[in-house]
Amino acid sequence: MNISNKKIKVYSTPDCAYCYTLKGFLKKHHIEFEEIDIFSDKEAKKEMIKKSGQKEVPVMEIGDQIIVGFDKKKTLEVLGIS
Amino acid sequence: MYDLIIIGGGPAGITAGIYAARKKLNTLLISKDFVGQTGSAFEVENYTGFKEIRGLELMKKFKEHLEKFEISICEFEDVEEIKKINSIRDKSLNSANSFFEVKTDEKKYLAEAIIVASGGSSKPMGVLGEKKFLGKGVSYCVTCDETIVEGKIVAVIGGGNVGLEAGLELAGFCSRVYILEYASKVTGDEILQQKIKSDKKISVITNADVKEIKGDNFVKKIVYENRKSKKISQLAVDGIFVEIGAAPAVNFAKNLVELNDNGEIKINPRTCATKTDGLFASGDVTDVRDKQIITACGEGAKSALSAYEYLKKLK
Repeated sequence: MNISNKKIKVYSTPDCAYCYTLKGFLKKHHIEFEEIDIFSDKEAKKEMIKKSGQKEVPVMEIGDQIIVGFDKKKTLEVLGIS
Repeated sequence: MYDLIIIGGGPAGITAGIYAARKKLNTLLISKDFVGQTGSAFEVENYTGFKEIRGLELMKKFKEHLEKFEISICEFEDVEEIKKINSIRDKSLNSANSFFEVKTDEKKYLAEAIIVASGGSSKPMGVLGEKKFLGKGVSYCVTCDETIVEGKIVAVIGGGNVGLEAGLELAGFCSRVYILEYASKVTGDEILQQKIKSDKKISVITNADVKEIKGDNFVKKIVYENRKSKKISQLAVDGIFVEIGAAPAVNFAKNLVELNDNGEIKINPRTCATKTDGLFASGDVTDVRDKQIITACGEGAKSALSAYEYLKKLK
């Protein structure tokens, strides 16, 4: 279930430990998301840098909001999970 | 009331969990994640039984092993404080005359014994521009951000095992890699030093005291001073990976433990006991000399067995 009803994208790389943690956290809360591997998709990499203004993964896009890194508090807040 | 709460989901915490579960202790393991520093490691080739394995894969195997046993797990919770309660007001708690209260960002939990195995987090250099360019070329996680610097020039700060491994990994797809080491020589394992020497893309700069990171929207330059000649130099780089070790994650327990000058918990090397009865510590958060995955596992096992002995005496 996606509580916010907003489309969620997670930009990540296969070996990224924080990406693994973020994806696990979303799964725990039954949040559906689209996973984008910027290691294999170079266009997505450019898109992520443009949208987030920085180069680190993970980057989560929730509607028009961007969260860089695994930020539990902000993620819960934006997704409206109490 | 749990018999034991383990704080940390790295090699020490997970191994402590396995040992505690096999002793049938009513155990809760609390961790903000199950990756820790190991999850960001490249090819691990010094963990017995695995000729080479990515750090994140090894952590997944550790967690899978832990989940085989009967143990409560609270993942994604951050421990904020541990208190020792010395008198019981509520006899229904059915505990000994002292117990611990662990407060996380979500709940409070009680236990008769604690193992702190919270590891450490990447240590920043503390130089000008480091915070400003975090995520904009400055990174503390090569496996997370290596793909961003493909074909570019990068600097790795730190010539220990992690720094040398980072340099070798990055040399696989960056055009040039500088390894800057503060000391007069790199300290990583000889096998890594040999590989570094034979890689033409890698240059090692020793006696390098990093002073500043410069750029516009993203990193462009790193400025360092040669500690001997005092000459200031700068390198044009697109990415900087800081690998100068970890700072122990111990704030939540600092009132109950004694710390050494590095901020690590002082333990009895035989038992992993701290200065507080019933509070044990293991792994990289402690003052053990060697910070290795395999030694952290051993320390985790030792701390669980000591906690078991402690709890047996209470019953």
